[in-house]
Amino acid sequence: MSESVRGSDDERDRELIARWKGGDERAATELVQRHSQALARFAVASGERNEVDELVQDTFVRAFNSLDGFRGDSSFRTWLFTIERRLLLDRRRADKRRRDRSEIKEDDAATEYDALDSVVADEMQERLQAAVGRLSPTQREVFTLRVAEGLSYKEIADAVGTTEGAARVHYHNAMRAVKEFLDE
Amino acid sequence: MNDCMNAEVRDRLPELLHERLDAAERASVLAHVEMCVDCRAELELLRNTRAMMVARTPRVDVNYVVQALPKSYARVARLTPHRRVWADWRVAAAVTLLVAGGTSMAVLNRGAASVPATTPSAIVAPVAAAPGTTAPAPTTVAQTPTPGESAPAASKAAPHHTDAAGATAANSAANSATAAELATAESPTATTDVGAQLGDLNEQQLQTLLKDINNLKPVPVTDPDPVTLRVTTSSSEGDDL
Repeated sequence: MSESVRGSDDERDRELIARWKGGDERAATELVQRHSQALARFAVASGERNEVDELVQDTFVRAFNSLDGFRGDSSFRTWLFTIERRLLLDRRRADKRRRDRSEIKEDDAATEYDALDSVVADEMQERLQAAVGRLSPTQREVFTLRVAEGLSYKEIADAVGTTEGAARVHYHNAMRAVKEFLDE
Repeated sequence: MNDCMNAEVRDRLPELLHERLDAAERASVLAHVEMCVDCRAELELLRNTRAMMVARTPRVDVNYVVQALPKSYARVARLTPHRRVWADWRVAAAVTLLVAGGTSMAVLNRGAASVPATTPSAIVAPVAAAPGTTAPAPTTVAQTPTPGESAPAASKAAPHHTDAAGATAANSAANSATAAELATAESPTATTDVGAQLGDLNEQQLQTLLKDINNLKPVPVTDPDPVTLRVTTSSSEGDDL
């Protein structure tokens, strides 16, 4: 992976964080603009459907409240994913009975995603959505971060709380499962 | 759909998709992809999956997110008015000194013009009371040469409060008036006489008295002398303590 490309992104984030700490509120807006959609994608891929904005907002609020604790060991975006994932797990624990999010079961994956489909009618994308929906939660998280966000295995491991090697295995298993579903 | 046997290149396909390879790596991976059907198919699969994920994600309302964010420390600090505690107490102290000094001057001036005698004694008494109470030694005022008649009376009326004032007024005839003043603090019945004596002082004596009052310094608080208790114990009386 190009360290220079990633490094420039990280550098820009650090610069914006410093500006925000110095009182520049526009820096906060830019940080949100840079990362909110990635967080939303991760939320949707993780099964959150109805409260994506709230989840993204909570993630940023928590992040900004603890910016002093951000040491920069990982990228700012990876750190945000870590926070968002914890929030997701907390929500699931606190609201086990609410099952309207897309926690896909084996036999109704396509049906669940049909309900979501109000934008894209493309058959290939529907099938892809169904294939991703069949993955285990961990596989789906790793696959989403790798494919949709281009994170490295190291960054994925940091965000998901696993090892780099385990993240690599999860990704390749997920890719194999998606291919098999599409070949059926 | 098959997997390419070149696992290293396959591992790089997501980075190629996100344009996160440096120039050399990108050229190498692209060269492989161009001649590998499986990698081309996988890269296409990755591209479609990414497009699907982007398309299925609702647009986040950035303003909604931003309005809930906390203010930065610096901005909060700028919006908070600076509290000038340092200046406040100094201004208060200066005002207090000015008021006290001005009042003293006014009262003394009025005293020179036969003002009721209770006023100067009320002003002077607190000044001298502090040293007198911290040093309860025998008075020296009675021993100082005093041309006036008030000194002996003062030493009789308030022997505990006159030593400090007397010590500072030893070289001045006006100090007898000071002693008398101090005496009146303890003896309300004598205030009229003392007030009358103050009124009898001439301008020079009053100025000297005022100077002496200004030169008064509080006696530092001293700890009582340490008391040594010697306890003698014997084998038969050891339990008495």
